[in-house]
Amino acid sequence: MCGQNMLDIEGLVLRRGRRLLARRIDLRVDRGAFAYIVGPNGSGKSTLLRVLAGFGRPEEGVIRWSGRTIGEWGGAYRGEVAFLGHLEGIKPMLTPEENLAYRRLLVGPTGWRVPTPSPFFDASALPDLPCQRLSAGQRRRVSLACLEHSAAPLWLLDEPLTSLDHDGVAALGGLLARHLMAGGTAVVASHQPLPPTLVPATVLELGTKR
Amino acid sequence: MSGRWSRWIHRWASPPYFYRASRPWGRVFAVVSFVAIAIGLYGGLWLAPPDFQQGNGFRIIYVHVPSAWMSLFIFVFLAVCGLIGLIWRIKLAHAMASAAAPIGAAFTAITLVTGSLWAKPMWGTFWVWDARLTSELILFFLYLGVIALSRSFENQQTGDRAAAILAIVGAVDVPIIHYSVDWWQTLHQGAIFRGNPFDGHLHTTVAPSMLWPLLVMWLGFMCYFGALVLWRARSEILLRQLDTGWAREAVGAP
Amino acid sequence: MNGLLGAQLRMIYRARGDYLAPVIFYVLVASLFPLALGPSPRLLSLIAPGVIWIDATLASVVAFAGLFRDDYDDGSLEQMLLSPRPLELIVLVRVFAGWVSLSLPLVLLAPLLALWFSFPPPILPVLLVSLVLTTGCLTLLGALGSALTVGLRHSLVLLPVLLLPLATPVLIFGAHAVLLAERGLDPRTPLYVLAALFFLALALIPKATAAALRVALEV
Repeated sequence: MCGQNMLDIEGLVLRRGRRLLARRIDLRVDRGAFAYIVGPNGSGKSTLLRVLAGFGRPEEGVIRWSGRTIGEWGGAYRGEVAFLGHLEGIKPMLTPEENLAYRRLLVGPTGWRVPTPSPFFDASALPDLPCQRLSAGQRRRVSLACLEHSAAPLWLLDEPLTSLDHDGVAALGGLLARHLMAGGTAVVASHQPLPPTLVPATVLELGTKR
Repeated sequence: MSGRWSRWIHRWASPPYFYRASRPWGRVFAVVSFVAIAIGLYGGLWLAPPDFQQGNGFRIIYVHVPSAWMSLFIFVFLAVCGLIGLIWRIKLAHAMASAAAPIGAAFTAITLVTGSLWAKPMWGTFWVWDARLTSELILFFLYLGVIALSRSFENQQTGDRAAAILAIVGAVDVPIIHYSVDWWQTLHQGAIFRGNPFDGHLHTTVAPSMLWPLLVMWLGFMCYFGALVLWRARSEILLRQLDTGWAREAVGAP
Repeated sequence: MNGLLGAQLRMIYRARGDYLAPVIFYVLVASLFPLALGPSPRLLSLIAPGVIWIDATLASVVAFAGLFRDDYDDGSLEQMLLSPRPLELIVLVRVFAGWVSLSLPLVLLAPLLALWFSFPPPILPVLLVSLVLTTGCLTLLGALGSALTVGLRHSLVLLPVLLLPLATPVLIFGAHAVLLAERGLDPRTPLYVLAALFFLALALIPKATAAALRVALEV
């Protein structure tokens, strides 16, 4: 009933601390499609993505990925997910290429793939300096480069367009499109409009009726 | 069998059920503890004969020793609650731990105060670095650490879980601390004082007329803890679940 | 795992300025004792083991407060938790890198402190062995404490409150191994116990630390 690379959320109740963020979320994302989460600040977009990434377990509701709940996946779920949060997840003391190497060590050889080269995310084109000396946009490119190498089928992107210029937004659109084309799935939260080439299968609005 | 157990556990883990069902238990514990402490005090303060060495001064053990036992028992209780809360994600267990921690700290403090009151006539000073008192002092700090950690998070759940991990590690450490302090004591024996009057009463010859009030007092303290922890846990879960229907109903809020 | 360790050490090397302060703290605190108590060599050699142990414990607690702080702040903790590798192993690598960068200097500076405190030189090996084991335990405990408080902004005072009571056995056996040796007695018992404690900590604490890190990142 729930196929490969399919995300199925049923009756999810979102809380942060004691604050109720969303009463009941039902969401289904098919293989090769992505869901677009919109809503004002504090409406629970990030919390939803963090729950989907397995940071904490929901009190009520079920999340199924490829037919199994996160609990049933256990530790193996971590290999299924690529998460891009508010924080870049890159080390400021390492250069862009060293950061890629470090991430590669973390995800292991099976979680790492060599993509068709795209000039925008090419880490070797960035200055060979510790990332703390790069601009915010350049650091964002490093973390997107890590994402580009990720072989995980489920991508969870929280405000991925932050600090990206016009070319960057287009490049990210292409990156996501290639991921979906290859049979991946994604959930994207953003309060910025997505590039027109990307058409979400589902739009979930959070924080509208409280 | 296991199905029955897990049903029982899950029923009790549900906050509304616990809130309703624990009330009579709390009352039973309170009554038993009152009776037992009254009997124990009578037995310890009037019936038991004066100690041939310490006279009537020894009678403080009827508070001191059960408090020391309680201080250890409650720390283990914290760790068990923490394990249950972390593994089965039962929130009630965290509420119980959070209710029990200050009680444990209070018992530890009572142990320390009664111990130093006893030390005054025994050794002529209110504080000696006796092995048992030193271990209790470290245990007191452990309690304070667990309480401080659980309260320093904005998110209650994070605080609960972090404190649970600390309590589990602490419970593994408590016997090691005891052992290390005992060892330390034997190395420095004779430097300050000799002998340990606490052990003298518990491990060698204890007259039955001295022992039974101690055990009755201990029963009273256990039941006192039971009553208090249920009472505190009930208010704790009410506070934590104030945004749910049953809790608002229970406190009569609209 | 070698690669991970290499990356950790490289990061530490690039930020080496940050790792100097705990070492300075350690040496500075030790130098305060003669100032407070007077320079009598007899007194100083008497209190030396205690001073070095309390000093090393405090310096470790201060130093390890931030072990996972950077990872938390820059988001790489999230990526660590999403790694398919066992988190306990990643923690262990982090702890080892932490020991090399923060505790090894304390061990290596111990001879200097021994000189200041008129320590009899033949005891130096006992001092070093027990310091290695002690700092090993303290590093593991420090990692746990850092993981437990990583989400808190004001953890600097809380952390010693959590860690110092847990560390008392290590303090007792570590300092007393040296004390016994100084009195010409056999220091092996406390050293063996210390080694046992270290292996116990090595077996249990990475698991607890991993659990604490997961708790810290929970929604």
